[in-house]
Amino acid sequence: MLDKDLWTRCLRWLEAELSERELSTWLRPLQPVFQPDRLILFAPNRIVQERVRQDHLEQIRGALAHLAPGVPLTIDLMVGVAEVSPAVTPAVSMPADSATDTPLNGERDASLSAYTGKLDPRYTFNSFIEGKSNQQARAASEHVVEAPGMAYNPLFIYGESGLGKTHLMHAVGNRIQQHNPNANIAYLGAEQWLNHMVSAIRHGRQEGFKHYYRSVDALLIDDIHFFAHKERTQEEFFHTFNALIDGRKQIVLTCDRYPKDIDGIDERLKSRFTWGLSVAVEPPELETRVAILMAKADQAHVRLSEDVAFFVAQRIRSNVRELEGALHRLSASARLRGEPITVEFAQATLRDMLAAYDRLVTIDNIKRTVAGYYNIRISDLTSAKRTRSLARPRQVAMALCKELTQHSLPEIGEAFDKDHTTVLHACRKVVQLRDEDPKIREDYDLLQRRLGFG
Amino acid sequence: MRGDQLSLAVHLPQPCDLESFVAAPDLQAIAQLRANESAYLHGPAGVGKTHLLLAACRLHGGRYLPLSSLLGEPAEILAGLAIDQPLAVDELEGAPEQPEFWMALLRMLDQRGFGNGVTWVASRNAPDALHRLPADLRTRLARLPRFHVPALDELQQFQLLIEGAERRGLALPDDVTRWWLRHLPRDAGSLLAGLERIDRAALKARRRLTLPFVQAVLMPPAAAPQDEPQDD
Repeated sequence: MLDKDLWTRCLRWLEAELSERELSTWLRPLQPVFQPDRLILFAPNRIVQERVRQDHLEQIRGALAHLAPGVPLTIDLMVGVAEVSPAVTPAVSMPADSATDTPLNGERDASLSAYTGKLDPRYTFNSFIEGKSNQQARAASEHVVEAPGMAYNPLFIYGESGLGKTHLMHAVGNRIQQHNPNANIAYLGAEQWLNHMVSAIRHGRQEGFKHYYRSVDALLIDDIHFFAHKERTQEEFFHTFNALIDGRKQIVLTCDRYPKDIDGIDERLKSRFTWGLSVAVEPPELETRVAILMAKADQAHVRLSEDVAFFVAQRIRSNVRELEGALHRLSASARLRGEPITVEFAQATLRDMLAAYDRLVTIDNIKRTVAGYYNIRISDLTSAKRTRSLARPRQVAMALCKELTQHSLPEIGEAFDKDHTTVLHACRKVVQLRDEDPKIREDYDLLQRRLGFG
Repeated sequence: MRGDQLSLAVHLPQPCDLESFVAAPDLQAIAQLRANESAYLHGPAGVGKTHLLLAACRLHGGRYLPLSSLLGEPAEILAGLAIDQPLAVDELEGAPEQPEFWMALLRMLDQRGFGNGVTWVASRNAPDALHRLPADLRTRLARLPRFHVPALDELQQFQLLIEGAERRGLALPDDVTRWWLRHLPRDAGSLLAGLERIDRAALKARRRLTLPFVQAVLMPPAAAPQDEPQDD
């Protein structure tokens, strides 16, 4: 009689023949399903399947012959995921990314929806912490779900990574689904769209692909900047976009920058991205960071006092995921050591993380951030050109270096190929401009937040 | 009647486990891995991050993905892992420089986060210092609780050699240990690889671990020191 334990013993046996690296890379991912005279090994994808077939199948056979002598055993190697129950007839579900494989046993065709992701039910408007930095994006998203396809179409949410764009997108999808359980919502990453399109072309299923995406009630695409420089993908998306807008179906897109600033995207597509509403999500300010930490702690059932949340939020300033990482670390250490999370505990536990964070504020990083913000090249910051479109960002960058780092004026000057008097002039000019020009003040404050201050 | 004891040429591989990991006693990464909880391990090369990941895979039946070994593989290699199976991603800095690969890794992390899948990642650097990776991926990695794995101090290096040798049934004389720690790389990876080499060589040659023998195995003849002090 075969049992599941046999596979575990088989792996132990093979420890004598294979390195742990080989075992864990190729054999441990296999999921066994035993039938009376047959062992089905499910590989997560074709590559693992092929590798095991070529290099390890005979070793597995040999090990099983030793461990279960006299039992005739056929080994089948398939791509798929074995369901939990080791039933006599294994239930098989295809992983999303292997949908291009030949259907198993001829039983199942690759679903058209196999490439789309699932909406995460945890990402709702209720679990979204609002602050000044994201309130406009949240309001626009809530407005969209009241009448999908009617106003703000497309809704274009942009901003740096880890600030809540994906959360809002899921919240939109979840709320639409809640209002209309029959709504056909496609949520996917831009690269998943590309993969699906390539697969459809390869298998001659373009019509099915077009029909699928042009007939959804809402299309939510994350990281649309991934379409840059992929003309064929943009072309297909352009037609889908038009069809959905014409049919008053909602489109929500996220991107790491404002539509007009995406390099490598066709102008007519860029222009369409701005037809609805483009809203920015900025790095959260201190109060929002504290609120986010407290909410995340609540969700994870971690006891976190306000003073600890304040301490962490003051020190970790760039994005929400960093805050989550710090909370996970504190929670793990508190559990392992059986101690409460105090400010001192947080200080000691996050010491390495906070030190690394402090090191991030360098002249190079400031230059990179400022250049990205103004959409100019880093080399423009050190060039001799004195046009206002370059001189102003250069002055802002120099002033930020003076304010946020310990470098002297001559050191900053050297980093910008200028002398120290130019740096001094830039610092004074920026102080004056921040008083007089609200736009400069806003730019400066935002850049400080992006660099982790404020 | 007693016969002569036969020396069998059987090399027993050392199991990769968390118990045999020599580290500072308060290294919380070990407890985190033992508890089957997600973790991001960072520290210099040779401190044993790979050992920890492999040991965790062995303990919990996880899948191990050494990214630097996957150069040239399509992004599909990341696909399809069951959510209830832990995933260990090693050598993050060696990830293939392909946007498709990074995006696949990013989606996989999202999917695992969504399904509460356990994910372990190891790299020489903390997530925010991985500038080669796209920001989207860096920030997702930053969600994992991170643990620094420091280099071994002198006492721990000594302990690793002695205990590692004992587990293999080898006796390392003091002069060998002293010479080794003075003249050869002392990171955990190098020390363990050296033990593996002398274990195999001693078995093959049926020799005790004398200083000349170990020197001959671990150092090319031209590089071996001529006048090795006997004690210091």
